[in-house]
Amino acid sequence: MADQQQNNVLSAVFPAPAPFYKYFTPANLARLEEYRRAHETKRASDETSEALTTSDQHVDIADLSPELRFLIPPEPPADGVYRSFGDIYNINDILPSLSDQGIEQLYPSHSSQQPQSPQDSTTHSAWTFDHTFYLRKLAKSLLLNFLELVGTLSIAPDQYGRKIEDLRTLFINSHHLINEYRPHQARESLITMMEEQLESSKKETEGVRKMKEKVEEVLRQLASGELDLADTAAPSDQKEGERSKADLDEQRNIWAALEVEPGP
Amino acid sequence: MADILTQLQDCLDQLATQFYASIRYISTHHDFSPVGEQEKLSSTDVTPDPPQTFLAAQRELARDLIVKEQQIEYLISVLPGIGTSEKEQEERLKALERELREAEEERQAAVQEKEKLLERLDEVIRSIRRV
Repeated sequence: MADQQQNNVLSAVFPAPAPFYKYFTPANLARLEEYRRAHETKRASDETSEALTTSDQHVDIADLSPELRFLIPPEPPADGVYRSFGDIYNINDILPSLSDQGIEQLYPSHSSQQPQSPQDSTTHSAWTFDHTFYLRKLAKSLLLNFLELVGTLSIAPDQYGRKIEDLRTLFINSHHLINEYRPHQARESLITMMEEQLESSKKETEGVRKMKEKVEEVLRQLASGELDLADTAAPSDQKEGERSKADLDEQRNIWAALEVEPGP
Repeated sequence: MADILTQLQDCLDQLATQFYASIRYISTHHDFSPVGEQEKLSSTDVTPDPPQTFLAAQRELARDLIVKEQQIEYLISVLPGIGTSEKEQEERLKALERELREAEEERQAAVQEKEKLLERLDEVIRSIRRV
């Protein structure tokens, strides 16, 4: 029976999702969180056992019930390579350098020095300036080389090969420079997105706060209004005569007005 | 709208296409010059444009190239995060994460207060109805 099911999964055109996705319920996640916390306090309490402290964060999977085991993500492969649909991929997607592809690099390579000196932030910010500087330079060179190509074509059309090659190198260099810039842009857009989120979150809080103030103000007025009514209603006994007289006057006025109105 | 780097790459590709298109136009629409006493050549591959049109088209192609180049340079100048280092970005990200978490907590508290307020309002309205 289980075998048959396995077969079905394998022969389906679109593979079914891994069966353990059903374990990712809020209840299970909460249980795992609880387990982790309990584990941590336990670890904190018996600090003498150093074996546990060295294996930080690692929850002992064997301790967990089977449906919780799937909630702990597996370690990334140790050799830094994984397979997907038969192809092999690198975990750290490395941009192959131009020289690796047999193309002349027309700008000084910063990328190789970059990860080695992370503490030196001044050269780092200079790196972006350099990048834009060389990008601009390459763009200008492109136009100039095209002009040279046209010139060559008008004088000696069969000499086009070298200039075409130059243009090709320039284009590839530009694209490579752009791709080197991508991680930087990704971080920058992440920053922008987070800033926007922060802004909207703050706005919402502010909006709720303002609404609260307004509602409270209204409630307060309502309450004081009710109090006024209560004040006037409660000690009304001694003023009864006065009040009823005023009421009567008002009613008389109303009647008078009513009698006057239908007249021509 | 795509991000600026992608726009930049698209522009570079367009520039390459324009290079090709410019040369192709010239090579297929140029006129021939007679050499000495010989008759003017002609070719089935070439359909000469009248000189005026040819000149105007050349001018337009050249202008388009310059415009594209300017577009590229503009895009380079507005690339995000020029002058910020990776380290600065990371610090900013961390700070933002902290702030976001705080803001989220505040928001949650505010939402709860809102709910309480709604309950209170409900009560008030109900009591008014009863009166």
